[in-house]
Amino acid sequence: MPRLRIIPTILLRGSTAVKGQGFDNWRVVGTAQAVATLHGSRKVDELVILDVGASSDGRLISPRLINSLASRLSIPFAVGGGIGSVADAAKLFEAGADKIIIGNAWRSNSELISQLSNTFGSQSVCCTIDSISPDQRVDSTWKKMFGENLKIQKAGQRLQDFGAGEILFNTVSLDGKMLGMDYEGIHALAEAVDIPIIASSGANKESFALAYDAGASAVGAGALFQFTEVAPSTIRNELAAAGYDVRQKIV
Amino acid sequence: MDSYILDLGLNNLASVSNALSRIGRQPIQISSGAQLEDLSQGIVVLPGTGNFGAACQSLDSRGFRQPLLQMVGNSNFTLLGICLGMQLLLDESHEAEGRGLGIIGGDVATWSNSSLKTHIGWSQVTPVGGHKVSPDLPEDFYFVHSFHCRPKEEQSIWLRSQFHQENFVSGVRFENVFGVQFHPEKSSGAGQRLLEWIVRNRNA
Repeated sequence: MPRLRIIPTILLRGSTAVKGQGFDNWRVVGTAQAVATLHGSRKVDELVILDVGASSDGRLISPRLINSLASRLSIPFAVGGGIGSVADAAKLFEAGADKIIIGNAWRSNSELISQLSNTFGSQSVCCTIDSISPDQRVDSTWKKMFGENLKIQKAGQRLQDFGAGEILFNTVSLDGKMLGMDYEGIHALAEAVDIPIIASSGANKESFALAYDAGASAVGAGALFQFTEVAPSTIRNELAAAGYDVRQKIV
Repeated sequence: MDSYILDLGLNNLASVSNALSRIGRQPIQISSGAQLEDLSQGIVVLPGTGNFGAACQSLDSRGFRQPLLQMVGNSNFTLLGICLGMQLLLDESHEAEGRGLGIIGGDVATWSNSSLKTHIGWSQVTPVGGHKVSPDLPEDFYFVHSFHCRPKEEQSIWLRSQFHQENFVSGVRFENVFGVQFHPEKSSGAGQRLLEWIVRNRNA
């Protein structure tokens, strides 16, 4: 197994980095370049960069911005925001992204996942599942779009069957609160699929070990690394001391 | 020492280019065999993600094959293959039909445990005895690959790594030719140190 990963999640609206709660209440935390460069320099394993306004504004996360971030980063990074076609994805890979994240489009067009995975390789295609809450583990976006419940396990299997290489698993009710994650939800999803899961939403200092125990290959954290004194290296050292297989000796 | 990146027309060269710039080797892109033949010295990088067959065709259609083979054993040059670029140093691949460069004898195969697919993420890279290696190793590097190299000659095996139960060759070396399965350009400080070491110790 490759090492368990620690991934700061950077949310953007255009070229501004923001942070919210419950997928709402956005506040500005800095420019995209400054925030990405800061996190990139903290010796993390990977970055997730999402433009949360792109889909609703009907635009693509800016390839020009991604190009400028790529020149500052020497670690892999995944980008998402408004990707609706192979041509959109091609622009972002061309700009230097290592993976793309499909946040919305897979629900209305599951063929898109197979097209992307055949064109760029499944390892570079990550799709999101947005669970409503630990009490209601169904995809929130699916419910909004079709008025139906799609269980997170079913969503995961669907993504895997269509060729997704990785799942970014969110829980809307826990997002941005740092009160812990939906470990049972992570476990249920990990049991249902073979592809790696980036567990996200609600991470605090204790969450990493618990999420890995539940079956996550990576933990994504936004607020924790943005608003608290907790550094990725602190988390990493504690995990290593507890026997978790994280990347060490990072200089 | 100048640095050059071969453009096989398969992928974005920006990350490799940025990584070489970071170690002070502003690279120049090479897109034809004629340009390659004009060089008198330097580090030539064969980068790559993509399909083995398409890359082999590109080696021929762009006229890279002969000038690359002429560089083998010429200490004015260092040849570095990254990921698919490493696989191209061998004879052939199970991924697709195509003739590799054959600088390192052997083939490129899938995992023997067929339920394993793509090895993606950070894994440790360990030197194999008998070769001069960077004192920084073992270190973790970033991998993305579904196929791995199986060199015939034990002496050409430079580095090894582990993916689940599979211990595989993650680096090869023959005289002035180096190949790495991982991506030094995406491996943060470890990648930068290895690139610097190769530049410094290319004749060692």
